[in-house]
Amino acid sequence: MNIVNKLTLRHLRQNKRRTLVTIIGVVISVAMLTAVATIAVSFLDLMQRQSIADNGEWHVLYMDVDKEQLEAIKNDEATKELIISRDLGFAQLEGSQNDNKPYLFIKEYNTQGFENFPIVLSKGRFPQAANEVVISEDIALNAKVVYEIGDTVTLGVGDRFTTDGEDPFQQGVSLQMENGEITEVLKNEKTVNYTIVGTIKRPMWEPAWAPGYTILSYVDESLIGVEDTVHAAVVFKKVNNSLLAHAEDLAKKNNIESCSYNYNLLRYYGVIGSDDLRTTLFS
Amino acid sequence: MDILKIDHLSKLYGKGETAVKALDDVSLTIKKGEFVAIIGPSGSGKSTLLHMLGGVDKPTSGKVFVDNTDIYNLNETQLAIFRRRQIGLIYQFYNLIPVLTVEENITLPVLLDEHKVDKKQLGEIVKTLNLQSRLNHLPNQLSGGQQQRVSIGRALISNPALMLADEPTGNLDSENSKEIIDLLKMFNKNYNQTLIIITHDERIALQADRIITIKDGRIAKDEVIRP
Repeated sequence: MNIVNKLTLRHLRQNKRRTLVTIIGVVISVAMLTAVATIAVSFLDLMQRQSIADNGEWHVLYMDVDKEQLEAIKNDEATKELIISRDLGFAQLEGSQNDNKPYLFIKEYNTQGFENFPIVLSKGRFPQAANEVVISEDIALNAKVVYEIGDTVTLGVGDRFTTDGEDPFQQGVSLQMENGEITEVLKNEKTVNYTIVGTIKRPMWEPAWAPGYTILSYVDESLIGVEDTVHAAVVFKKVNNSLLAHAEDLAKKNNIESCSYNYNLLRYYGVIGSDDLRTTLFS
Repeated sequence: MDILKIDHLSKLYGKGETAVKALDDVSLTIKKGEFVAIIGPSGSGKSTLLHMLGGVDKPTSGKVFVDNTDIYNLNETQLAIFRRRQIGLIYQFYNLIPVLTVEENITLPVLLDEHKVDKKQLGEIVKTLNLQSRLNHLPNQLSGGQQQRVSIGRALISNPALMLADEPTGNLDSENSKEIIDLLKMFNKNYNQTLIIITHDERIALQADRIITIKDGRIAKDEVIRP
């Protein structure tokens, strides 16, 4: 045995109490360090899962991209998963018993979107074609309009405007009313036929004051026209601070006007957009 | 042949107004096989000089050549190995390792080098030091004189170029002191071992070939008694 090891062993043997106390100390220290590290890591993991459960798993959202820009995003080396979505618009929900919620809000996702966003199917299946929809179960429970799986609906889908307004209202803006009278109308309507293939729980992103019950259809990437625009949410292969610069660079190179980041999730990976916050945390 | 050369060696402890100059521009050479005694009053810089020669402490300026090697030009690891192989140190309080036996204490420099112990050489040293019956004893089972003999054995086991002894008899009675000095002298004469010894005892100093007197960090006197 090496003389240093021999010396160490003899010292340990001769000082049994000190050795015991040292071993206990080391065990406690290691256990504490492990516990603290485990708490930190599992807390981050918990928060990441919670954020994904609340807002879906995506990192960067490129808004209103055309077919060519979508192709560039899809082929980007950093892209792991691509979620395509589109807000198609609103349609009148005939027979709605809720005066503040007279519409259906039609949103479209590709297959990845149904997987990455917190959409809970309660009956049936998710749409697999552009003429299929799943509808919020609140339509039956709250609006008291009952549809069955397999029913076909014909909807006039358009945008919400006030009588003299130019910009359409989104789902997050409540129904425009004055003295108990609705002061908004649907414009630019086009007729769309859907077959109901399932029902879903009310999505978490649909606020209580939203004027439309959510129904979700399928966006077929191959059917996106040259003039059409969609939203592209991306899950990155590697999540680190270079993600923000990379996304901005991609947007700039492909003339994408708007991109936003899922900071609710990214912050738990240590990706922080605000320099001030980063300075506060790390300086 | 010069085994040791000290070139303008200075050592300063502390900084500014509180700085203490322990060694002040000391230069000297020592030949192989010489027996040199370094004497001087307390605080004159004797032990500091010995530590510098042994590579134990670093000088503020100046150089130390042991067997033509500039020891302070070596990195920490190289210096540790050099010290282990080329310098034999004997201290007043022996500095033996209490949990190692006499044999292990003597062979420690060789074992640290992870070399095989030369049993013949060990046997000769042990016989000369009269420690044959004590090889498996621990230091606390030995008398002061025996402990100092063990430390001499440890200093000799790697055939060092230099043997440095810092008041080796300072903790011993007169009988044991004489025995230790006789042993050191014997190794000096029989094995041509260079020996530098620090002492307060004039009788011991007078047995050396050369006496160097240190005062206020400088060499006050350097006299050769036996050429």
